Amino acid sequence: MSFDFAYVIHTLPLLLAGLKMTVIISAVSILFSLVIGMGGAVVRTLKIPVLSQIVAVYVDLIRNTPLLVHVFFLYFGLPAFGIKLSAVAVGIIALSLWGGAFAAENFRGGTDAVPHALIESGQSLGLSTPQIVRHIIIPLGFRISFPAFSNTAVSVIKNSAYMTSIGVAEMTFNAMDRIAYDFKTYEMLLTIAFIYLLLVWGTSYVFGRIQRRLDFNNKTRKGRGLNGGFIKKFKLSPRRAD
Amino acid sequence: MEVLSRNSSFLLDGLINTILLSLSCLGIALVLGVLVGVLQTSRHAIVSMLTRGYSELFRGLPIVITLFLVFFLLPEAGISVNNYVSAMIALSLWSSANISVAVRGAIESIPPTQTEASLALGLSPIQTMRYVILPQAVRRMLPSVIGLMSNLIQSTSLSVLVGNRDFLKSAQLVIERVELMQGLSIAMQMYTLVLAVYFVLCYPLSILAKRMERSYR
Repeated sequence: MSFDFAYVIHTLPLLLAGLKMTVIISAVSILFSLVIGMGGAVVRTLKIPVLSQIVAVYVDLIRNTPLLVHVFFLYFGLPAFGIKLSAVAVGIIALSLWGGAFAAENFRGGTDAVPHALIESGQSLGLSTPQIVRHIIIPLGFRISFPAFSNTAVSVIKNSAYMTSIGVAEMTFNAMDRIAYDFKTYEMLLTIAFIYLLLVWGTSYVFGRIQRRLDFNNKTRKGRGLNGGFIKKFKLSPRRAD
Repeated sequence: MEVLSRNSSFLLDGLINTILLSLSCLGIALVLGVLVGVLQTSRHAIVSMLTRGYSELFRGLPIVITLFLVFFLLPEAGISVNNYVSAMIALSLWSSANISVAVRGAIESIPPTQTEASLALGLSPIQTMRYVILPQAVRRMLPSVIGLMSNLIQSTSLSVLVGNRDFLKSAQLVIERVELMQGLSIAMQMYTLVLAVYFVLCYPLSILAKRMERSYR
């Protein structure tokens, strides 16, 4: 069993085209997850009636059922309702819903941890609820829960490989396609495994750097719990209500 | 409904396959994960580096890729695996990597003074680990292991990609059969059922994990 480098180089453009698809799907889904997650977390932290329960059900449903089944449900099940989505659309929707549910849990950890004193001071300064959400809960909650969210984001990238099962031309699909033609199983699989590792580790590294920029507390401290120093160090700069 | 009653034993077979696969993976992953996790805290640089590399590797690879690697490459290396066994190996590798990280975290959360004390009492390093550190670490890692169990059950659905006949696959086969023989699509109902069954399997575990996490905090 010898490793055919020439073959790998020959098929590299195809794999990179697949990688591009993987990156696009993941990036879009991560953005949507961020929005869904933040919205869900705020709704749950503020305990908005009805909406809060809906979010709770959504999060539990998604987190306790396999992503692969979501994908099949959307791709094969929805046409019964006359909704026919393209494979790429299904991929993005499934990944976003999945990532959004996990992100909502991640962010809720952060938004719940925002000291209530800060919210009350916001109220006493005359800020409206949307302003409190916009200027206090989201910025603080986001920073606190960023490490957890970055794990979810990396998982979204890894799980984009699931879309191979409905024929989205992402990296895994392209590689499996070549394997079906040329039987260079060994070369293809090891190459995409290597590319995935670079992608996943690279992304984790970047998120780690961002996290260090966001971490306003003691940089070397391990636990990121909220202590007295947190409030003291954080300079609340309320923008004038306009 | 009628389809369901006619195929109930077929679906049940698939469900049993799913549960067996999850349990066997969990068993292997627990043993392997605890071992690797303990070795990660080793003071020998090479041992801890290798074992940390192991968990970084299998946590970094998408499960799908690990699964394909095992399924396609082991036979080329002369080890024949069927689809069930390859799914079992791949998922065990992935979940043991995750468990090892939980184990390492739990071990490191135990104050080093305890190790020092038990060493001073004359226990060997292995005895220290076995009788002093691990019993305490187990309690701290339990929530994440249970959470992982729920993840694992969900991930076994990936084994359909290498052709294992688990619950999801059985449902798909029923859908296909009805479509071919009666010409009507029951994909919607069937996948709803699949979602419901996975939910019933995983939700109690998630609740349990969450509750334990809260009680330890």
